[in-house]
Amino acid sequence: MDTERKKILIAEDDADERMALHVRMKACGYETFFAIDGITSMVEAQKHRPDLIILDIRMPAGDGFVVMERLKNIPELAVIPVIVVSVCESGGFKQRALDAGAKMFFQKPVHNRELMTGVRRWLGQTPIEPAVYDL
Amino acid sequence: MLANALWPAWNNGLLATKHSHPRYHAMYAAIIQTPLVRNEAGDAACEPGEASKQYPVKVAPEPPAPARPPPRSINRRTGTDSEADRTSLLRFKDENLSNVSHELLLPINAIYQFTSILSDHIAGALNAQQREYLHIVLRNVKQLESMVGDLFEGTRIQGNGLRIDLQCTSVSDAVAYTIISLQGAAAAKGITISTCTGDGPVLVYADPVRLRQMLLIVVDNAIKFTPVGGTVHIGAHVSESDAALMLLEVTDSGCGIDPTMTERIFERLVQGSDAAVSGRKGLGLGLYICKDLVMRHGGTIWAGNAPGTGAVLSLTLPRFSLAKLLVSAYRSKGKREQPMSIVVTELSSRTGWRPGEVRAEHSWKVRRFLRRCLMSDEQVLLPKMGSESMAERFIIVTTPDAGGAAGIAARIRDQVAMREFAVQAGLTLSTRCQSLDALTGGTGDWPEGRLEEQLLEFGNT
Repeated sequence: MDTERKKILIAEDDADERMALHVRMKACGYETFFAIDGITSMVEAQKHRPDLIILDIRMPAGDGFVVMERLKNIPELAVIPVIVVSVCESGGFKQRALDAGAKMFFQKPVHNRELMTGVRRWLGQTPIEPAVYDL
Repeated sequence: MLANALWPAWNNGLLATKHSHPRYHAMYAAIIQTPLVRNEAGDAACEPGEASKQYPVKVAPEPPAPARPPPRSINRRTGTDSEADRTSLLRFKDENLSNVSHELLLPINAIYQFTSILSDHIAGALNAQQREYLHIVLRNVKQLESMVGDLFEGTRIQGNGLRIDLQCTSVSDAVAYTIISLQGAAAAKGITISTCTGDGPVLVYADPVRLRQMLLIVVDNAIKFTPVGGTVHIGAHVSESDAALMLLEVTDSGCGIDPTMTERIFERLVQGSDAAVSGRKGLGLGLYICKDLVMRHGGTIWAGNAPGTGAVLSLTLPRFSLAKLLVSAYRSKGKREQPMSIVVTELSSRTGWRPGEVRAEHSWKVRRFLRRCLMSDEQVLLPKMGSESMAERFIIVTTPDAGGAAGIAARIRDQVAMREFAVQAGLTLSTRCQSLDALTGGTGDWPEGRLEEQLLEFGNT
């Protein structure tokens, strides 16, 4: 199975959310790592070099925007695709997240099919959700 | 002292955190001052519930202290709040509603996630009764989510944060979606929903998502106030007073609206007077949101009582007219008789279904690319035609000469071939062109509504 060796970092301060994402990702065959705030997000990203990061916005000790900013400044981490899953859509959060480098933005409660499609897409897995992009 | 050391980081946004209680300052300061590489080796894998074992981090956020409402003064004669107090209270609600919505959505999301994990059989097989009960839970979670969504929308309206993506939108499709969505609620009360949207496509210039939202609010409201065994009718036709507007009417056989409430029901946090009839009170935000959406589309909404029946809620939206859109590019230059062609670029996915987010991203990029391919102001990239099918179509209207239809089609194909615009595997971008005369019967005239119909038909072939 092509998902087995893929690593996903779940940066989410809510324990229940973290557990739910873990259960779903594990069921899909991914290896998961966890961070509960901005700082542990950076530490875990450096340590495990995940293939993808699922990132919450509202977190203590450095919110999701700070994390994305820091990821961009570290070349080996800058290439990791980030999918933002946040309860906040108002206040231009979505556009801000995309501008900050997030590949996708989902508002909670996120529909699992959409999330998993996005995860597979940005992990480069088949059947891939195709993307159109400008060179 | 540690708190002082923390201030620079705080000011730089590093600690843009919801947990701003001083008890966390020392903890975060200690973590910040720790080099990131310190714990590279020897870390144990952590469990989902406990995050990272090597850090003595315990996130046990205290709920934020509730903000105090402004002091109220009661009018001694009437026993009610003064107008100033009411305004002040509403402002207080605005300031706190967004935070409240956020806090409410967190547990809702957790319930949804774990319920869907169970219903997806990830945690083991379920019997029929368990499945049924889980569906009931999911249905109620969705209703709760919808109510909290109303809270969000209400605050967005106040903050001017609502976005409208205007395009050619089919009212018939939106009505069908509304009936499917609310058939459960109607069936539970034995209510019959009927429609009359006329023949052919009824098109408005509106955001399809918002149009569905408007209809859901209005029809759901009608169902709430209609007794068991009643009827709800949805009608759509061109407004008699203004042919540029489409009139949508939802009539029910309920108790009607108190004449003193016909305007007030569109105010924020105001509910219909008879909660016992509606069954569930709701938040008093639905019609307020609906009115705001209608106004953002350039329409109007009002309520009244239909003779012999219950209430009737009416709203107008601007009709979608391709002819009007094309007039600016052609008729004003005296080129009405000039034959025209259309170039249809179709984006389709071999994998079929695409989520809304991905679809919107693709659409935006292809549209931007096509706009770059336009060579003169006589070439018009039409707004989205509101297609809900697997493929998305983009239509350019142009003159059929060498610099027009054929030229632009060739330009699109060349740019894709030269990888100036790349299409990743799994997607197909195809372009074709056809004379518009063939669609309009060669008359060079654009009868109202016919052109849109023909273009939609052409796009669907």
